[in-house]
Amino acid sequence: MKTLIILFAVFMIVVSLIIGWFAQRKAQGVQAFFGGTALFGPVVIGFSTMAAVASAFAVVGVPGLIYASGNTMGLWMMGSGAFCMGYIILGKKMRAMAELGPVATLGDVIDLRFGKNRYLKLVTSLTLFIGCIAYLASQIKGVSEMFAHLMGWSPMTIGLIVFGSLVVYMVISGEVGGLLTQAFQGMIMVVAAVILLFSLFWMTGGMSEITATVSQAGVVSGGGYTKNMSPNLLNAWGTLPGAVVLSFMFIPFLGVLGQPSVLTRMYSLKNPMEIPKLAMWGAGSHFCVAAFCTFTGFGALYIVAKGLIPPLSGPDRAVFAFADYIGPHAQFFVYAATLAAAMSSASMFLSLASSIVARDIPSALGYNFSPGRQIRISRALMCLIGFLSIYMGINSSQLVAILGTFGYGTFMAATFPVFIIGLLWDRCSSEAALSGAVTALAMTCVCLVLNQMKFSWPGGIPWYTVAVSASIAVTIFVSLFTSGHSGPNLDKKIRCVMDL
Amino acid sequence: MEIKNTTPIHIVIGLCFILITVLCMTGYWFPCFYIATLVIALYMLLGSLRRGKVDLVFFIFPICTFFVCWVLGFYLAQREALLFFDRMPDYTILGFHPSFFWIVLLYWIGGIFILGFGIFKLRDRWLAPDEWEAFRKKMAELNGGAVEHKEEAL
Repeated sequence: MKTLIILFAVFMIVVSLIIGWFAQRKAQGVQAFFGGTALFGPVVIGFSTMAAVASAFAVVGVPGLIYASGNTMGLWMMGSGAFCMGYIILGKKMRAMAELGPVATLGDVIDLRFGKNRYLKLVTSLTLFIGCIAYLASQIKGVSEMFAHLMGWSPMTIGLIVFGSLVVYMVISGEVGGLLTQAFQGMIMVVAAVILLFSLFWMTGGMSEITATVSQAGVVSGGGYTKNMSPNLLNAWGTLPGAVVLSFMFIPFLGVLGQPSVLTRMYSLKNPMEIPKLAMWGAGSHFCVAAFCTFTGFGALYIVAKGLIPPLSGPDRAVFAFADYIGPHAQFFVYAATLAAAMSSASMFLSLASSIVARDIPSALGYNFSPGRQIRISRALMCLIGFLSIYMGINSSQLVAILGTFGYGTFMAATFPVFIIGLLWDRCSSEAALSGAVTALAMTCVCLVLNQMKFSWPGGIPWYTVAVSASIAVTIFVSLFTSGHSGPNLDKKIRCVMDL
Repeated sequence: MEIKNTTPIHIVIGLCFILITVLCMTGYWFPCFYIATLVIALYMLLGSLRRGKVDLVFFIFPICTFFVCWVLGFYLAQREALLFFDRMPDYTILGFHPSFFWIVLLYWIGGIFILGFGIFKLRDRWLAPDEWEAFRKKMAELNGGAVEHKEEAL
């Protein structure tokens, strides 16, 4: 089985490299290289968006959290409808921005909407950059350690092989290759998810058996570990505090709109008339992966509750323990899905991070490089950021863990004032968007420090819910008293986008 | 129906975010599910406006239908969760804990189906092809005659 998994990993890396090689023909201009702007159809974008959003955390972390605290995490994962919601709210407006001027990055959208406000672009770009590095390093760390454990090689060797190849195909083909490889990896995730779901129901006999077994098991001990089973694990909310339950529904659902992997794909779609089809592909593929992640958590609970295996040493073992129990085919597909999820998210964040440093931050600081130079700088930065992330992901566990708390909520807090409120409300001023972005960055930094000091917010509310609410409220409030690039000062073309 | 000024809706949304945070901090987390659903529905209403006009059909389905579906789902989930708190449920629905079943049906599948089917089936009420063409022509006019936007030259 180990040989088969290694062969599959090699196959996936080789296919990704081939896709990257052929995609370079399309990656000729700045918009294509950085944004894949207006180049692809709904199937490619749908799978690519889902794969970039569903990281290795979804495949490994979500079943683990369901094993640990029940359905609280299920609410997070079951937000597949968010893709449709996101396109209803912002799809046509974001796509329309690509008709106003050259749009290659999110920074270009900021320039168009807020009249080249350099401070806003700088703050938003910095926050996005830190979030990208955090995501990238955590994907590398997770997958390198997982495959190192399987193959008995050092994590650094695995990291260099898997993510070194990823850096190569991203350097060759930019976001065009990134999008196409992510679509391929997304399809692998969906196929693996469907096969594993069938295996789960075949093995357990269905949800009735799982519900009855977990509800009645009580305290299960074995192998030096104990697991407290409870009927509450399988009710709607799980066992975490109510404020966390609410946040795990609200923040990821509405937060899909704030994810760079969703926002940038909105302008990558060739024909805006196909946004409804894109919504269906995105939501449908996410549904399969979400079902796999959620029900695998139930599967792990079931085999422990039934005494088929001892309680797990840690929640992140849930998906692997379950796959080991089912058999070799499940092991194969779990490793395939995890590798695909990690590579797709990592390529997205590598591309975004390098485009921010090569294009957005210099332009925010007043340096405008020629398009050819931007691409050359971006290619060099992809190598630098990619290999530094491999080093950091594997050697600086503590730093990765701290940065890991940057993520979904930070992206939402930083992007919501600028892109969502900014494109939906003509009164949203540049001063307000800047205030919202600064609030998001400041709150995130303060909360990171407070987290290290083991501070807990009243009611157990997660820090990012507070940060998101603060940045949105500040943006709306400041808009009422300022007027930069809003109301009567709004650009005519932006007014047309908002009217669409 | 026409909404000439969307500012009040944005202010309501901002207040809802503050309310959600305060209620969660003070332990009243469950009503926040209804408030959050309202925020999502309001954002969809804003996203579907065309020149400030509300398309009544699109407003009823999918937006209002989604709101009702989720509110009902959360209500039923909470009712069954309280009914069988800390004990084995007396019955299951399709094998699921009765509380979780409503989440699967109305929050997960309902959310996808209503919003996905809504935007797909009523796509012309959300963005009609002639509206997009008119937008492109307007952009060409404002950009000085060029219909296609030029790629930045290398």
